[in-house]
Amino acid sequence: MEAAGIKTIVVSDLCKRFGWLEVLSDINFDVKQGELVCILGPSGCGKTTILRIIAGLVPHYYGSVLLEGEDIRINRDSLHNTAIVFQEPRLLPWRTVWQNIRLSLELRNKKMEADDEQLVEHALALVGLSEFAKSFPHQLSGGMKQRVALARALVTQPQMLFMDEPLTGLDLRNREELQDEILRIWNEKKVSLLLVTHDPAEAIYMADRIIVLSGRPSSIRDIISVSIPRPRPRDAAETLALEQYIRSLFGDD
Amino acid sequence: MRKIWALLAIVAFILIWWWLSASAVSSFLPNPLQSVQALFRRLSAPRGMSHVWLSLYRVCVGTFLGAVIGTVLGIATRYVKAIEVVVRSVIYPLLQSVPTICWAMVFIIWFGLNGVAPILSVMVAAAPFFIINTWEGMKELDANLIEMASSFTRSRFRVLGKVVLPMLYPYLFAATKSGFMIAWKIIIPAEIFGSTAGMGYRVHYAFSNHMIEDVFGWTLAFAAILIFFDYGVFNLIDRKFVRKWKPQESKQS
Repeated sequence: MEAAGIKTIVVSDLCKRFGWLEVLSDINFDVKQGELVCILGPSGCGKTTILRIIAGLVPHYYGSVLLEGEDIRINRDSLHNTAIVFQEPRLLPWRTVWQNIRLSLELRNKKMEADDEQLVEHALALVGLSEFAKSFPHQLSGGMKQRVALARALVTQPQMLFMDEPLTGLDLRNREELQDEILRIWNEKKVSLLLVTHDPAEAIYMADRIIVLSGRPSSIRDIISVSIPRPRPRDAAETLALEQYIRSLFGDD
Repeated sequence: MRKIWALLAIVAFILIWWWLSASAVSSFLPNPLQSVQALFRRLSAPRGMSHVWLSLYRVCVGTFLGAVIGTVLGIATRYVKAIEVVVRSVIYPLLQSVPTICWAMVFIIWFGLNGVAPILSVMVAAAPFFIINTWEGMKELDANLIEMASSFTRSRFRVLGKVVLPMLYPYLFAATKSGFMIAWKIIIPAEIFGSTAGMGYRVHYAFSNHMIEDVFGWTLAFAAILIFFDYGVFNLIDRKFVRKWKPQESKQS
């Protein structure tokens, strides 16, 4: 899976304080082109903060973030090749599904372009919600809303896709279904995918590499390459052993 | 059932009015029919309706100007610290505390009797509703949605247009309703002082010439117009559009 080997995301010596409180200490990792990397850690460990920094949503931090070789503090253009899916769907209640997906294009481009409508249609089909184009968010289930949020990110045709615990609010069946769907889309679109999660099983099921965070301030405990071929079994001995090892890393603090 | 009681109450009100006017005080209290007849006499006179249209025009223009100024000031407080200080400590208290009739006098001193003063009086009466409602809306603004929008664009202007303003629509509608109602109450005294036409001018003319039936007739007209806008126009818009617009649950799926 680490085919190309080009590093699209390089995070070096990242530290972050909130006032006097140091939350992240000395974070170093990279994501290669087309790679699926999970940032895994117990809740409150600052993993979301890492993602928000990389997505350009946090202005103040120490260290550097390079997207496609450009420091996002110096050249923010590379952020145009990214899109983020949040923990909550964050849909605009007054817009239909179609219009919600179109929003990201409206925000990103000064003018709408001729093939934008096709992009929306394509993104909608990709998440399997074509027949809900005219529905409003409150008419959809939690899983469907998160699919719309995913489509809203995909419609901008990102090279790098960031996801901040996108499946946390969902029930188990929806979660596993969407995991497969994200894997399918990741495979089809060849994007670099950085996924934040607190669920070791999810990370093991999905990731090429898992970055395990723990401690106070959080630092990287281990970076684990997962070489189990996909589709991966959800509860094979191999998976469970890995999960146990990860949980033991959590337990340190 | 409620409607029947409401209807009965209105009928009772008219009967009591009639009964009072039939007793000793009749010369100071014309009966409802006389009042309505007087009103229609005035309205059917040449250029009779023009006074109504003129007042309506002033109310609309004044409310519109107040809406623009109030909304711009209200939103600007969020983005510009200096404006926030000025609006919160000078402009808003000034608009709130100075009786509108004093504004009317000031505007007459400045602009004379050419009809500008009533419009500006309405404007300063309506503007605070837009400032306060915009603030109220800003407080409720969903920070998550704004962060989502900012993740797709660096243009604050586009975020404002696509997300912030639409989120404020229900609040602006509430402000329009209250502002418009207040405008009708302030246009009359403003026209009494500062105009040579309009409904306020006419009622004052009737009053000065002891045309008591006309005074009551015009008073009924004011009430009828207010009730028409409150129940006929604003309630209808509220039911048809605004309720759909309000965020149901954008936070969690």
